[in-house]
Amino acid sequence: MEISKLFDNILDLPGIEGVCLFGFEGHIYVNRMPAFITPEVFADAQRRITAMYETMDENFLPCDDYVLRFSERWLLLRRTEQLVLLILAGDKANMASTRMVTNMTMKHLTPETLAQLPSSGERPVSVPVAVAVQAEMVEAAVDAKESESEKSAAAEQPAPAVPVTGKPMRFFRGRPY
Amino acid sequence: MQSPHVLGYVHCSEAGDVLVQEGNEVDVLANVLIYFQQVAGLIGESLGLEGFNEAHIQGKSLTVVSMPLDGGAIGVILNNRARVSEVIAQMRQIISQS
Repeated sequence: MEISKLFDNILDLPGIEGVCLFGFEGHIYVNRMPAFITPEVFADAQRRITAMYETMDENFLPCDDYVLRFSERWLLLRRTEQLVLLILAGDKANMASTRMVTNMTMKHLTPETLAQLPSSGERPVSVPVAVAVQAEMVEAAVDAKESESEKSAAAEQPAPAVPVTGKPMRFFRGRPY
Repeated sequence: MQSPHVLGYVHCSEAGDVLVQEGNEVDVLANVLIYFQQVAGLIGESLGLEGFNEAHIQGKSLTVVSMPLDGGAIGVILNNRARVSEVIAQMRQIISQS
């Protein structure tokens, strides 16, 4: 079974708003969380979830499942050996259905199926990351380009393709936008 | 405690002091209850969720239900045959009456 369909099955359930699968080492395998949860914000949650599991394992009992209920939504956290499945759901979502479907998903989470995921194997987070280039970096790149062109106009220049603008450049998956 | 399959309960203050406790295994729960509730609130905050209401910790042989109460927390330990939703309803009723 194609692993991405397993996550589609979870999102098909009424009231389910987001799914995320990440490893304890920090790698995000699947991120289908709503757009308002930015990578920076999610990184905080990920760190806290990992800390919570470790602390509870050591000081209470090793428990794999946590349900955290808030005023309008709830979170379901389910752990396998190395992974955590996070579900964000609205109040109307059915917990029993969510458990059943996530049981199926977790059964299929093997190293082989994880390898099917497009982001699998990449070290950085797989969610879109917007990186603002520092002004010093732009200036340094421009200086390097100018000095190279003075030395030899004919020589090949490994100058970075960074346009000089007043605004900081932003990248999406390595491409400027 | 009179509900079937309830093993114990503990009420901790915000500082972590045990105010009331009864039953088995509650000592261990008392040590982590406030930490757990605080970190649960922070996890929700990270994701833009406010108003932490309750948490369920589900292990192989038992379930813990935790709720905020007067700045502190109350935790109830249940075995896996308990009807969690019924126990939560009872807890809410007791809290509202107190």
